[in-house]
Amino acid sequence: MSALLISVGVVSLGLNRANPALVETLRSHVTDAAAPALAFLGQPLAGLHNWGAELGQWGHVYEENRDLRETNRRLVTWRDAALRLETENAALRAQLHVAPDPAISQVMTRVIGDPGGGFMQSALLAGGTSQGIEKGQPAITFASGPGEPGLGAFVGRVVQAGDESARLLLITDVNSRIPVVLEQSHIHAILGADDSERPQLIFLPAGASITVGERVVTSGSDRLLPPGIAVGVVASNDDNGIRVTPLADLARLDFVSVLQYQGVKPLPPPETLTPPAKGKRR
Amino acid sequence: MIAASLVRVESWTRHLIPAGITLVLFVVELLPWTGHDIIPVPSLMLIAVFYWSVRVPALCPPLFALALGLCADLLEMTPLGSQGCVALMISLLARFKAKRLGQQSFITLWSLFALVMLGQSVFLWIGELVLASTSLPPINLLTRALLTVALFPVVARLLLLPAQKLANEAVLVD
Repeated sequence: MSALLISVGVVSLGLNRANPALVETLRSHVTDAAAPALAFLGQPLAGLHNWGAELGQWGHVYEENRDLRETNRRLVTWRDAALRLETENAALRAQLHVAPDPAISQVMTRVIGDPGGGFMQSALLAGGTSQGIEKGQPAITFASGPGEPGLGAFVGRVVQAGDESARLLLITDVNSRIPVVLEQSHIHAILGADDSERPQLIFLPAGASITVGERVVTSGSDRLLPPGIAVGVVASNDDNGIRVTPLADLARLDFVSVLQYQGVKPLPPPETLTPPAKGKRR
Repeated sequence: MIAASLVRVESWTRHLIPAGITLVLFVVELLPWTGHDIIPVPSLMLIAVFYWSVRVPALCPPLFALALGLCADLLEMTPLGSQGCVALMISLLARFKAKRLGQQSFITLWSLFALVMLGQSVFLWIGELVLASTSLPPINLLTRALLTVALFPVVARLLLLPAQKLANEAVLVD
């Protein structure tokens, strides 16, 4: 009996190399099966987290209220400026005949687990392919309301999608690589992580000058992520690398919005293109 | 007849206690306790597998340990079989030496478990490198191992009462 069990263990090890597709299917099925239990048991824990966070805020409620009023006053000014710029931008786009960005729909889903152990910075989501969540789709911290422009902060991308559950690889995971661009200097780079709380910018062009405090957004150059999603802010530039503090609060992920962005299709190879018929050119 | 059936059901229920508790600890381990922080979650499942395998080996069969380890692999995205083999080895070794280990002091068991966790970390690191061609951060593996070893007395204390009850009710027959 023991020999048989050891054989099963060894065969399962070999499956990783021999049939990775089967292993991935198994992962999806097991995750789907575990998702309801995790969602049920995770609710009291989420309530406890929220209660703890609220308890900590009670002591600062007056200061927070004052700060919020001040922030609101400044945001009203910014809102007017943004509306003016939006109108101007729309007029300029119309004049230049700029192709509009594809509309991106969102699926909001609850985070029900953190089954990464010590091995992976990931989050388990309560939605899967039956809700329209597919492998490769990006996730952000919150969904914009109807009529509200802009997107939330980037959290990660879906690396596994079952029928009723999905797994999100966070931007702090060692396997995460996100093509980004610095918002002001337009320097392109890759945001890589080393399992620390602050991922770093790699593959920068030679002689690139990076300013601390500059915002980092997705570039969309991988054709898989929509461009312009806020990722983080450059926090330091020293011997330890150029570190970015994520804008999303990854320690408190209760809900995320998965963007149903299908990516930009690559151009077909030239040999498959049909040349225009002769005599029809003007 | 009804009484006999009830006795049989009760006996079966008692036999399922270690497996049930281990399963609950495993699910608890998967919940977002640290809120997606960098802090790894200790492996409560391995503590339970080790403890039951030493104290009541008959009620924690290697097949159960392997199945649970494989589930952990599938849910925690480690190479399939890596945690399964570790859990199986723990169960088999503990069963093999159950009589001797059962007589050891708690400190000896704790030290042995620390060695097991160290071995598990090395095995997982090599497994990930060979099978998935990626390298797990050793600091995360070691932190997880240390946290698991640190939690061993607490979990063992929680499991002590059911283990003693099962032992008193003479279900310790291997």
